Amino acid sequence: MSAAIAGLGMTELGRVYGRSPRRLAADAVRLAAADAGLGLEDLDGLLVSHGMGGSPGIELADTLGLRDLRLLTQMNAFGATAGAMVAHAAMSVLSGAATTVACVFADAPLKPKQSAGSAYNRSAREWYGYGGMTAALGLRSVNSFYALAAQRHMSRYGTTSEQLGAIAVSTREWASRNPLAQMREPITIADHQASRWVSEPLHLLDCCLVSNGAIAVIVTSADRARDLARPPVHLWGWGQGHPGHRKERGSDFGLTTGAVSSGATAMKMAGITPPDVDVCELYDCYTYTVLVSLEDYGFCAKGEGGAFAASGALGPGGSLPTNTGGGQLSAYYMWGFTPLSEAVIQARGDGGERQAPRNDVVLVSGNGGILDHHSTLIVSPHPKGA
Amino acid sequence: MEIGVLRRDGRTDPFFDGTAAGKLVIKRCEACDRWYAPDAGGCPECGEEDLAWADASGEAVLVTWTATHGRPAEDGTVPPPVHLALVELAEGPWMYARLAGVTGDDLREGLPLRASFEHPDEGESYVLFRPVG
Repeated sequence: MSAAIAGLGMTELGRVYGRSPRRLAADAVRLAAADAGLGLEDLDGLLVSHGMGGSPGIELADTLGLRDLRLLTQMNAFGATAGAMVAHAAMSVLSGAATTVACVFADAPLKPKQSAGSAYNRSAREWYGYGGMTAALGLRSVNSFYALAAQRHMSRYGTTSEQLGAIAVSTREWASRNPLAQMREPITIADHQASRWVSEPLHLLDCCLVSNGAIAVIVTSADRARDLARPPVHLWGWGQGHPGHRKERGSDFGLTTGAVSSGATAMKMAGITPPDVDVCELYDCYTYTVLVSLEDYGFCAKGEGGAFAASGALGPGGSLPTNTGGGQLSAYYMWGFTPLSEAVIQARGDGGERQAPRNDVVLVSGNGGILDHHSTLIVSPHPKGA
Repeated sequence: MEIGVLRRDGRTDPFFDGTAAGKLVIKRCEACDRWYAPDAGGCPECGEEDLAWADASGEAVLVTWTATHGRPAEDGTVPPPVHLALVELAEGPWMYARLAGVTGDDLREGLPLRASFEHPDEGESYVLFRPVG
């Protein structure tokens, strides 16, 4: 037996106001079930992702009127949650604990008239204790922590801002072909270089969007999925990696991520190696996250992620189409459900203008914390081993 | 970037006793002879939950850094960037830090730094790191 994704539901994404995260989540689950040709009464499992802006918990089951569930929990591995949820759903299906599991992420951190940055920023007049001092002195935004990671890679390997810019440019080129993307105007390396500094070495165009909305998928057995409304997206492998870098002498913080072990675990399960991957959907909270993930998955050697990105490999027509929907940088920021949703679209061949030429093996990543947590899924339109 | 006013929290007060006296006070596991950052919750080596507070030398080297920029104001003026860093204390732990006396172009991995202490009129004293010499 194997498991597959049978349904995908996406609400409007972006500056979407007026619906609570709970309502958005319920809408996404309904859309995903309908996409699969299922009714809500067919669900016997629900996994709800943690988020930032008041995301729902397991009370979502009540909102949806779900009864007699056999699996219900909220999960949190930060940005690695989506992959962890789909893997948990798949294992539940394979073990017989549940047959049809919805996995959903919803968030609404954006408020009307508020900047995207301030949704994730902190400020205060008074600060408390040692942790408060660190924030008071300026370490308040996730941007700064990822900047520290990216600068370390630059110092160690000579990675450049223009190489990060190549990722912003190729991602936007994909987004220009995606009607769902929030940012569709093509950009150049010069635009990237001219965009304002956020936290050096990160320009504004190195940083992801912030979006409101919700996305859900339905996981069931491959056998059942074959009889449903949409072609199954088969789950070939999954993995997680949590390196636990300590902040002390000798630490690899910023230089290597959990993708090393997460990728190896998922690829071994799937029976593939990096050259087998046709499409990458990588968690791109920052351009740098893509660069370091490509290295850690083994698509290029450690330290060569910048040159690999600058080679044009990632964009349309490149050797490794990556973030084909425009990712979190240019399309929509739904944590790990951004790469997951685009992987389902690509595996189904539903990419339209942005459909990758080959889609036999699609790699999906999730990344959480400051490169602290990682998850991987390998998906395909074909059953594993077929 | 406004620093604001620092207050004690009852859990890290010895750190601020240190900054007031011009000393960098961090955590230490006596059993393992290992040093930890001031916000360490326990010793991951032996499981000791109650780490001691101990005086560090205040010597450090630069691990990595960022110049963080505020949003432009409505009149288009941009506040000066703030240089933030991870520094490696001579005792081994890393600390998140704000740098002083740097321009940005002068930063490199391994740059020797030393703790310096600021004593604002209101609130607790705090630590910055400056290049040595």
